[in-house]
Amino acid sequence: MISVRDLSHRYPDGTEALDGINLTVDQGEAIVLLGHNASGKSTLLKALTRLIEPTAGAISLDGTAVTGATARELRDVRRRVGTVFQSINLVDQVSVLSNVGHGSLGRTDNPRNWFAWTSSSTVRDEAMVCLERVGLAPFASRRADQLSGGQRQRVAIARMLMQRPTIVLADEPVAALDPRAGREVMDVLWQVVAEKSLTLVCTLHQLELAEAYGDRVVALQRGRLLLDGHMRDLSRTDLAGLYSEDSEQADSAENSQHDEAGVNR
Amino acid sequence: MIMTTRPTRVTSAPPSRFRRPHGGAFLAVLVLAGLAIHGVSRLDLSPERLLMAPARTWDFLSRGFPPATDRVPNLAEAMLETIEMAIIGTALGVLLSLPIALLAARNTTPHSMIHVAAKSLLTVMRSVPDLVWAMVFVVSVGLGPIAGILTIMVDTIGFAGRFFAERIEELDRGPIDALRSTGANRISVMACAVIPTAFPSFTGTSLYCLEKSIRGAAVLGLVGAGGIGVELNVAFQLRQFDTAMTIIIMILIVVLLAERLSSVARKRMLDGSSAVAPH
Repeated sequence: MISVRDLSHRYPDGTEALDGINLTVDQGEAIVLLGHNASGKSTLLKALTRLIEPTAGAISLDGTAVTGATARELRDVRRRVGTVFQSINLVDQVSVLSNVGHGSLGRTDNPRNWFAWTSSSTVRDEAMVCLERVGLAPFASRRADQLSGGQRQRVAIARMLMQRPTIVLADEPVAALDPRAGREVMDVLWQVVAEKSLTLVCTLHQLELAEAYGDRVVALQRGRLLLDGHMRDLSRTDLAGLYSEDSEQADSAENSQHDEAGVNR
Repeated sequence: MIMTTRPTRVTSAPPSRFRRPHGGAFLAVLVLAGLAIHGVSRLDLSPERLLMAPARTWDFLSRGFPPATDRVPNLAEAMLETIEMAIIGTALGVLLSLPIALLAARNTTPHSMIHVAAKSLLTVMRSVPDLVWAMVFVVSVGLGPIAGILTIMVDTIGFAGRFFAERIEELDRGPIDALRSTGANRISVMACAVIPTAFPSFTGTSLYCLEKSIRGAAVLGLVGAGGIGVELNVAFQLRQFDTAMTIIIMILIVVLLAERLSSVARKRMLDGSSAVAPH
């Protein structure tokens, strides 16, 4: 379960990246986070595990207070949070199986598990199960850079599963993929999350994907919560309004001002 | 008909074609020129010396050919020692340079003071010429190949350590952040993300170091640090130019072979993306 209360983050130049966000995501719930570039989506995801420090507010993940947590507590929290990145972030020079095995590093801390060819049978078997789950078991011995973009993102999902998380944060997981591969990745992500009753926050740009997969939609604009509702209660006009020119200009103005300040959101 | 158009009248004058040199740069050129002129004046370049040089070179070449091929079996042993010194010294140097590079790179160092200390160590190792290191090690451990191996090791650490550290600093942050986000500790992140990502570059640099070490090892014997250089020194001192020529040709063949093999190995490694990764 994710609980966010009055969360704010202000950059040193004074830009409000997040402004008084209140959000609760129940255990096993999957939400889609929508908004323009620079609307605060990625900042919110990073703030959840304190990869950036909130200026104000409180965050709790599965009952553990993240804000105010010690370094050790924070590491424990991060172990339980699986992340799927837009840029995929596999280690290209090693095998697919090794990459999936890396998901276990946080909980095992055993140098034997650094590489798939030295790791224990338990870890290898579990990694194979995760690969089977994303439909890529036959590719276990391939180098990661030999796979297509969609396959690589599915390997990243298998690595996330290997971590045995309770919460999954997916930051625009299909932004770099073609529509077909994007659908495949979204199918796999939503299925594994549902099977294991994981809590999911997934940022997206594509409205059609949000409509297809999102049960609950949360939208941000200029760091503020603009919309929080179930898809069945929202009209197409509500969603389209999120990406209107006015809305885009509002976020872009913030963004360019922020870029000039030399701060990377 | 060719149409020519007159430029429109400009109100501002274009900038000067030549810029006045910066005072510091002008002074630096003057100092360098002064040193060069002073150096030439100390060379004792008499017309007699210049006139005798072609005759002396011809004397060396005429006495050098044909090379003393009957000495090849004996010299081959010294050549083998040179190659072995280069391999052992480079291997030790590459192994030791890796942890130093991890401490020297800004993105993997545990502390900024350690970063400065590791970088300074690499600079010292790299800045002192290898023949000077060889003389130091000859004093420390005595004449012979051990001094040569230590020299090559230190030279390799200075060179490879710097390039390894620079490569680590240029790495894509993505895989590193991904492993950090799983809660993996610092050493695991280095072993699983930093080193594999930089590995092709590390191997290329290591092969270049080996090539450089073989070239360098051939002359370390001139100061008594073992290898074929010892034989070369003796041959010149005894004016056995046919033996010296044999050694020079042997060094040339070995260095060219090492360069070729290193180049082929680097190319294969770069094409290695088609290879099956260890699993």
